[in-house]
Amino acid sequence: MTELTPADRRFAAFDLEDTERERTDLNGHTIEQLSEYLDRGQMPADPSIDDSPECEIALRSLGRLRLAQQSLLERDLERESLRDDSWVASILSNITLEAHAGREIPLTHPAPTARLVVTEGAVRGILRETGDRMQNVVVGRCVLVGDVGVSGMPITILVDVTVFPGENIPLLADDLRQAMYSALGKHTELVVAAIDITVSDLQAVPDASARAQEN
Amino acid sequence: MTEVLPSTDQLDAVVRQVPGVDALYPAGSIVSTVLSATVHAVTHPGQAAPMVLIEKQADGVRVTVRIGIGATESSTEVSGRVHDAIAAHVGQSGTVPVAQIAVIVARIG
Amino acid sequence: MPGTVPEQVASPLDTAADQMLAERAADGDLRAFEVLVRRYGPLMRVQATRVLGSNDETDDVVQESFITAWQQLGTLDDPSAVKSWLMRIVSRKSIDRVRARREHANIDDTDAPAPESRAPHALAETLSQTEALSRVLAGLPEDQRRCWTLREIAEYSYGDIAAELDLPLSTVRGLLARARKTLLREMEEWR
Repeated sequence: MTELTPADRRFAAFDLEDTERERTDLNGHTIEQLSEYLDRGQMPADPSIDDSPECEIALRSLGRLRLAQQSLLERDLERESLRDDSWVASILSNITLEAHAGREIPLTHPAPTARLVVTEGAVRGILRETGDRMQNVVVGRCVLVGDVGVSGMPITILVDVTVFPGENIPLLADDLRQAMYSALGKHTELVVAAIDITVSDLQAVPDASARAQEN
Repeated sequence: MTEVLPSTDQLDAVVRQVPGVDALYPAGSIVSTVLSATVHAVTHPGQAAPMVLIEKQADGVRVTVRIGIGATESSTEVSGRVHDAIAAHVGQSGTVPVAQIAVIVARIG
Repeated sequence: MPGTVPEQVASPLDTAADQMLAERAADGDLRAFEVLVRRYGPLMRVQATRVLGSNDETDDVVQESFITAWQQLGTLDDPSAVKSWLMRIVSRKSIDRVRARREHANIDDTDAPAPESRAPHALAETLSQTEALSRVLAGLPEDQRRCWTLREIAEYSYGDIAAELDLPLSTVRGLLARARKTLLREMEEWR
């Protein structure tokens, strides 16, 4: 450091090169330690920091930097959020369902040349849709357990669901199960031995006002 | 011997017209799709690449289509109709025996 | 196979927890994936722009990141951590771009000093603190800015930054300390 800027003269601890002076100036601490102290919410209290006016100034600067950083991030996020929707469309148009197609589930047809299948991904999709059409339930992961590639082989389906508070869970699970059986019958020839529904998480209604507007 | 393969463009149109089909996706592996799309772009400038895959093999022609169907449709019914429509079209237009018609329902609703 | 999502009115998915969205997306649900794109796309764009130093390649990098994410969602062990997983993907892709750019230019400018001409003194009068911080960040040497961004926006640990950038932990500490001090010093000047 050949030449001190006005800021360095005001506060030598911000000198990039001289860590010795940093420690001397900050009662034996470094800026990094003070930053971590601030991250911890200044707990547990450290008198060697709290009682040092130089540390206090540095902590205040660090706090200001943090605030400026937050508002910069908020500003940038707001700017990005205001962009038109084309970037979302562009991303979605560049991804392929193939990545999650999964196994092929055969459908029968009288012609010997026919090979008709519905993909596992499409079947998981209708299981989700079935749940989404019901009130107060969201279907999560769906797993088809068993050899879906062999016609007539019984399989089991595992479904995770989230149910909003206040619902009669056994009743809802029963309705969902029946609706899923019916959808599976329409789109597949799977022999489904059981649909095991796990209510994995009771989530609070995230935004009551938004949901009220929907209804 | 001159063999006339069914035209991919016509088959695309045939499949799209089947009631219940609301999307057609590229059939076959990504690599072969990209290759055929590239060839298609050279030979048919300005046109979208065909989605239907037609492969000539020793035992005859193999046709593969990947479709999306409407939420209220039935996979079994729509895929059967697509098969029948392709079989009828290939029977009319081609001179090559059909070895297989594969219909993949890749998306519902 | 282009993914198009049918129009739908506000659905419970819009407010669903990350875990639920990540699990459904891993099962091939485009609609859940779209909610994730909207929820974290802006933050990923900010991150990419900061690491890259400009927004010229942000669209490409973020798009590539989401395509990778879509393909690899099945490998995500903890779906509730999808946000930090996405931030890692976009950070890594941005860093790779910077590296490729540098190899292409065949110069190593990691140690290039920040341009002194950014003149915060003059700017301080007219710029908000936010804008000034943005300029100082942009003026940081590339390696410092990368460390800082990984730490502050992508919320990497020091160890993870070291692993990502293939640097010794002590170097990462040093770079972050320098970045922090530069920012603090510049802030003193805007006051």
